[in-house]
Amino acid sequence: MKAAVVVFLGTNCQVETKAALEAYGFETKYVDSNTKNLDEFDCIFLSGGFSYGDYLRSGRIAKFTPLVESLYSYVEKQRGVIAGICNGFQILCEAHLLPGALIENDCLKFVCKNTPLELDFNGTKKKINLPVAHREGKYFYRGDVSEFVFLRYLKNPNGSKDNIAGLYDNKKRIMGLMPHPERAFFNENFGFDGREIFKIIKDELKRG
Amino acid sequence: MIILKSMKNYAAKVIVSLRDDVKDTQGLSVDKMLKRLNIEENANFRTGKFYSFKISAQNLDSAKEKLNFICSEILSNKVVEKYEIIDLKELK
Amino acid sequence: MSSSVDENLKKEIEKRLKRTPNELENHLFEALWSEHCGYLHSKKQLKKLNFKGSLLPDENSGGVKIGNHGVFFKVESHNHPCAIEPYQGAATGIGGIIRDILALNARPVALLNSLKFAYPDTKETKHIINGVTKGISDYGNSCGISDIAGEVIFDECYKDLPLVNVMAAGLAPLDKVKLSAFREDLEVVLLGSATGLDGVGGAAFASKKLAKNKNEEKIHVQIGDPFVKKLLIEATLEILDLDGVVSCQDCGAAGLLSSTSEMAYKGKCSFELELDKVHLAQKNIEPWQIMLSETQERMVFALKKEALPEVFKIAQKYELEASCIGRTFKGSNYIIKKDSKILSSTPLDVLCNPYCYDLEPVFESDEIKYLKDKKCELFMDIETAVEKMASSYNLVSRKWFYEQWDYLVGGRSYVAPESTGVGVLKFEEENCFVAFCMDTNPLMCALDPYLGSQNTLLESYRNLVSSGFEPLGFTNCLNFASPKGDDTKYSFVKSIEGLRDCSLKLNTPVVSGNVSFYNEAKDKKIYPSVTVGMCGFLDINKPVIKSGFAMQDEIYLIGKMINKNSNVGGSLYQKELLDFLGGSVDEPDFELEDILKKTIFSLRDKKILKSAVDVSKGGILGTLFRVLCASNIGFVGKLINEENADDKLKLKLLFGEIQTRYIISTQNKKELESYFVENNIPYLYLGKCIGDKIKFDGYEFELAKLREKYLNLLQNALED
Repeated sequence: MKAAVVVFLGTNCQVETKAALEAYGFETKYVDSNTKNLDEFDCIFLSGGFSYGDYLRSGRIAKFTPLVESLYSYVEKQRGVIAGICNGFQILCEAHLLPGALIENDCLKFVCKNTPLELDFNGTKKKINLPVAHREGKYFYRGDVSEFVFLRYLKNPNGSKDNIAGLYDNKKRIMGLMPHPERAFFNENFGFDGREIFKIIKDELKRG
Repeated sequence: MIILKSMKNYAAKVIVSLRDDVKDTQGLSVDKMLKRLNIEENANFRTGKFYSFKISAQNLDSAKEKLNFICSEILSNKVVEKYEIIDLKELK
Repeated sequence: MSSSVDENLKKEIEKRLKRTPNELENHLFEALWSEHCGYLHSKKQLKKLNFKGSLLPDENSGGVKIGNHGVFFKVESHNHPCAIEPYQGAATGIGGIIRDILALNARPVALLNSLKFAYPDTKETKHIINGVTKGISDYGNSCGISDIAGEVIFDECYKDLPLVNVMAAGLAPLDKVKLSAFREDLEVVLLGSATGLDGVGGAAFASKKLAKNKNEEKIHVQIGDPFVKKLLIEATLEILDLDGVVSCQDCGAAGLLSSTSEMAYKGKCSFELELDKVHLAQKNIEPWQIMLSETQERMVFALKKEALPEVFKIAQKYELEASCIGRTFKGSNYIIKKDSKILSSTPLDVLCNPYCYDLEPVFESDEIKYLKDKKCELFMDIETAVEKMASSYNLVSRKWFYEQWDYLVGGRSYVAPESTGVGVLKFEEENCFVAFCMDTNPLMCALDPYLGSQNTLLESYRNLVSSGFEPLGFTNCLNFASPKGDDTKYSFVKSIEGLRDCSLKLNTPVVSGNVSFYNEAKDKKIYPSVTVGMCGFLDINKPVIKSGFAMQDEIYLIGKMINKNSNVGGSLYQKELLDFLGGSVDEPDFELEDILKKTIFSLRDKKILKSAVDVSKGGILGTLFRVLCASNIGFVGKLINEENADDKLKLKLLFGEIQTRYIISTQNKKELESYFVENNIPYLYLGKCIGDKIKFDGYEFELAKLREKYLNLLQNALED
């Protein structure tokens, strides 16, 4: 399985994301914002950081890159899975590939801590812990997205509506989450629960 | 982009703010502060971002069109934000 | 010449230059012969420090060697800018220290900070604290460099005079390290933000006392751009890997002038700068302003002509501006040209070699003698004292601060803040962990700068040892009042001598450092604040020792034992509870320090040790209180080891700060005690972790109540 790790100017979690994917058996490659065709990849990973300084709004400027254009056609062709972590989630929302938007935390501060979550995927619920690190991570939406939510905060750190920490699109081919699974992957001090998220992606890919 | 000689320059001023049904946490914290300082109660404080820039267009109508595009597609995210054009006038 | 260069310096310049400097040159000298750039009052003293064993101590940042890598680290102050504009001041402080590391072709991987504020009780102080914290957060997080550890100290001496010392650490393979000296016949390129008026004259500003009206000072503050910094980091590392790129330096204080003149002076060659070539942010900017601008996010490179196209290509890739601003050649002059006309040509050994003051001889003033002789006769009952100490801003959790800083980005961070005394990075390239910590002890330095600075260095040393690390080297930031004052001269010289002697005894060199004078306003001075940042090493196959306790842990004190005759001058409890500062400061026992280090490492290897923490601020009870609250665990035991102690003595025994002590825990009492007996280690059994109360010597406290304060006191104070 081949995964692309997207690096925009200002992305800064690509190294850990790539290492986590490789530990999970993916063949990986960095791609930059000018990439026009993603068809060779089974999975596209938008990793965390501050793309283009997160100026205007988090993820806004990244939206206007050839890479995001090529994501639209990637989705249209139903080629593979797209996953966005933190800034990647913000970009997917800004690009309207996922519903809703991410706005400034209720506490008006950057929050970096390990936080308890409920993972709810395909009917199995599980308590996990993952680190969060963001200033604009409060999820907001109108209407009902509950059937698409797979990750909820147990101690809401940012004011997200309905404690939403992560969700996928209606075809389960695009997923976004604010917590950083790649930071709970290699080190016993921060736990290994991040592997649960990578497992879901792998299982989804196997499902085809 | 082709810029024709007949193009005129317009000065645009825009405010982008959170839509009314989105909680404006920064605004609320200013509200609280105003109340605490006994300056104003229920000030209904809202925050936003101000942008000013130049656009070129053949006439005011096409300038407006261009401006609306910039505001809706680039400066704001309609899920959470709205924009208001404060001023658009030709630069002489 | 402007008023900030005194008449004597002016005469000295004319004498050495053999002419009167022109107007542009007046500006150049004002900057380079300022305290901030020229270290006029500190240079002679700093030479006393022990550099033996450090790597490249004369470069932008020195470091230590681990295998085939250099670990570079340095601390820098941004005190004056933070007093005026806390947010930008802190942000650009981080920006500056990152560039110092980057210039060596070392990727910056960690940030630490040592912050000192007044108590967070007033609007003004809260504004400063919030601004500094957010500045660090916005800048460091966005650059993608994890903020792994640090310290925050509260004392009223920092009112309006906050100290913001930031430290950065970076890693580089030794064969990739680039130095800063020019060589002959190279092209010089300026990369990064366009030069503007921001920060013009910043170096001179940092070399004087703050004006009474803060608003007058605003003009000098630089503006940081973390996104451009992130691009600059990546571009610089790519450029420095190119063949043909010879040297690099960042543009910090006194901007283009100080970087290029230093590079030329070090390289013993002439440099000709063409002002027309510098990419500018605005028109109508004077030559002297271009030279002195402290616009952030700029780096200077010297390279062979062939490498130019490749350098510009990399700049373009990262959407950064670059310009070729001049060249080097055989000679010894610093030449500035505009429109092909020479505006200035000065010998580098005059420009870059300012007059240095002698601070010595120095004398202990009557005031300090009086303080040292003072005896603390005040006391209060123990219940009240414990409650008060538990709600001391200086002892509670720093969670409010570190949760705003990304301590995990970069994939190297190994432990969460406060789980042990240090920040730890995984360094797989050399199969090891490296740890960093920062410490200051202003109260002890105020009473006895010689012992105070030794004890500060040792606090860092013990922080590393208690986490299992072998200390390798340290950096320092010396924050003092005006060097014209006799007390400051005395405490500065004694602090340096203390650091030197301690460093020699520990065989741990200084690798880099920074001096910040003039931390005073009106009639107020800060305490001498010697900040130490230390680096340590641990084999990757060995465990990092945590500081937390678990249920059923048996708790021991090892090291020096406190008694009624111990010197506890400079202890936090006297200041916080009794508003008293005085008495003699305790002396460390270097032989015992080494024995304790070996004991902890050996107990770890035998798997008898569960956790360890050094006993520092707050003494035995202060240290226990912190660990118990963080671990959320009760304790039953005996802490007072003297018969018939009254409240005054009890306070001293519980909270008094003496040197050379650790608290450790085990679940294997028998083996631990037989190790102590066999090896003749001084120890004291303190008690056991059990229940949900803290009980000792007939006193009893609810853990939950103390813990609530421990976790939330700062948040409640700063976010009302």
